[in-house]
Amino acid sequence: MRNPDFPVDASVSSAERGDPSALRLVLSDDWILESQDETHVTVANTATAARMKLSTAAYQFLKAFAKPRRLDEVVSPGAMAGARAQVGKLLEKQLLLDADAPRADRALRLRTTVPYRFCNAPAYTAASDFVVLGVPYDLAGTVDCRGAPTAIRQKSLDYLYRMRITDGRPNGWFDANRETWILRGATLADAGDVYVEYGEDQSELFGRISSALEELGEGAVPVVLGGDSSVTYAVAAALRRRGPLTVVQLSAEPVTAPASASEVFGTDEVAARLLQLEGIERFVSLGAPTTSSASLGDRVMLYDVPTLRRAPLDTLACDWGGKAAVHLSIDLGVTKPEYLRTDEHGASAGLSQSELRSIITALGRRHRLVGIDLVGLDTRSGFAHLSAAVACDLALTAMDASRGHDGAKR
Amino acid sequence: MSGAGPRASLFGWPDRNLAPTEPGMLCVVGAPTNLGNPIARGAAKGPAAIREASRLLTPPRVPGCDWGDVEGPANLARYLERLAETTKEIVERGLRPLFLGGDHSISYAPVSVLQSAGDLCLVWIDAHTDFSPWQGAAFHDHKQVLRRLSKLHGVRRIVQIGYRGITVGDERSLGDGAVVVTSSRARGLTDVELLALVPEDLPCYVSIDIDAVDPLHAPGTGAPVPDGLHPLHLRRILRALVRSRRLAGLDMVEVNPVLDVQASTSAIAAELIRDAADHWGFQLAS
Repeated sequence: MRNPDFPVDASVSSAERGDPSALRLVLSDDWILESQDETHVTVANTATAARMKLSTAAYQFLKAFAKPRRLDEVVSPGAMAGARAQVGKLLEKQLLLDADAPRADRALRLRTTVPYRFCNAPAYTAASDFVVLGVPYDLAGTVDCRGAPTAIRQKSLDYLYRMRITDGRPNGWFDANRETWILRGATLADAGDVYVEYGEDQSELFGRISSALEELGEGAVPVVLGGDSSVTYAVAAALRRRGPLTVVQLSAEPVTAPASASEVFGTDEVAARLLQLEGIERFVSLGAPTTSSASLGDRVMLYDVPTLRRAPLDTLACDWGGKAAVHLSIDLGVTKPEYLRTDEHGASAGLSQSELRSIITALGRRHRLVGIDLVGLDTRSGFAHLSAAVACDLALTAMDASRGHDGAKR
Repeated sequence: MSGAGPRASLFGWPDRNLAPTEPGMLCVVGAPTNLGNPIARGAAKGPAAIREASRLLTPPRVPGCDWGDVEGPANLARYLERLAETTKEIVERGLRPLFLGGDHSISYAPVSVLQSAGDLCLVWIDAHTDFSPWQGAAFHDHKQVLRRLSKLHGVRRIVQIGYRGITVGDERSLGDGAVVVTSSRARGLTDVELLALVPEDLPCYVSIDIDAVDPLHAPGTGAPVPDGLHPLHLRRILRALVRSRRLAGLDMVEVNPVLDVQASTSAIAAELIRDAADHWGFQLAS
């Protein structure tokens, strides 16, 4: 299996490869004609989002490289100087390529822009306390959740990120359930989605997730919007490089299948696959309605709902050591009505919304939340719009928990 | 401006012109509009869905009549004028209006009419406070309606029940004469505690946004907020008010059949109304 942490090759500018007149040039596979009028056309590279406005004459010149050709095969010697300058620009934009150079990975883009940003926070440009990253990938499991990052972001517009007029710092939010302010002063940015090319190898995507997280830096807590729970694997695999990591998953259906030998793995073997990685100390699953007999060894810990109701998580989590670095994964399958719905006395078959919040807060009190993901939102469910609302609520709760019980930044 | 004839009346109640009327009797009016909700469409189908759901229930012990729907122009201000005119006609007949929304902006019409006849206590049951500012907008929408109502002279008291979730600001303070009971607190609220918040000497208008109910029970609404009240909590609150306070009118809004799952939300809305009507005998005697 290819190393899932394998970073995407950095693209090498063709312009750096010397005098273009010595090269055989060819049009990029990713070029498109974006618009045209009587005098000009705009061409774009769909892989890099680079655009260029050309005269119709320059466009005819560009089309001459549909097949690999040298410059002197296309232009006369007298026009060579002007053509060389034009080719330089086209190479820079990667609309023209060196036909004989090895191709860079097709998916040069790590991230794409998105129509809505989480809580309408600014687009990521510089360091912030939290960075949101979407991964619209769902080919490891059976749940349709590639649309979940968009659904969650769209719902998050009910939870606007605002600045205080007095000092320009983030205002945070008011948690009416607990009647307290949360995340005051915490900065948030949205880095868009990891680029997913459906049909590519799973390991290619996982490599891109790793590279995107690396690019966002270690200072911020990543808040990753999946996608299916294989995204948890890719995120935790990247975060373990920063130090030993415990993965805690809130899930009504623990993923306890043994690791398969397949290159492409399914969502049910996330725990087993993670434990094969150096630096993953343990996998903790919280919230199955009933006890599971499945066992993946002593580094997998399952706390079902009755157990969690008998003893607070603070007590149960003692044996993980103090202040463990935790990546918190929230499988939004917990929001299914059959688990989450309460009766008039507040009792539910799975963890209720208030219990989920309490557990997340307790985790933040006892340990260090270094990463957060929300996966498995079934966008075909009749309750999808509600799951998206729960996702926003839990994401903000987890972000607040990551700052510790006193609200201090970690 | 007579109401358009509904395909099915609420609980099979007769048309207002056919029903033997008794002072204080409930008169249901449909307000099928989305005009005050700029984000989610579908609440306009609420009246029909609630009436349809009511057909599956045993009719309430105390009958009412059905005015039909108030159809109107595609302009909220003018539509609310029509609802206000309808409210006046209902009051002139000695009946009490029960509006089926529609989005929450419609509550402005009946409350503005009723408060002009005498001071009111407004009981606003909703996951949101509907107190958003509306600088620059030509008219209020469903997120600002309570703020606008709070400025009416005759609205002497506001009891907001059900505020919850993570919000941009702290909305627990809505000004003098207003009190906010969050969902968490409302769950444990006894009848005595509830009634202590609602002055006995003021008639009440009760506005129920179905999103006060936990969306896992009532998913068919445009702005669901997790962790809401169980329908039985709401039923208890409503029953206490019907039995112990004089209700000048009420409404049930923001039922959105487009977003509903197996019509469960319209069923809950119909059941809540049926329960209120079951105890409406206390109103007829008051």
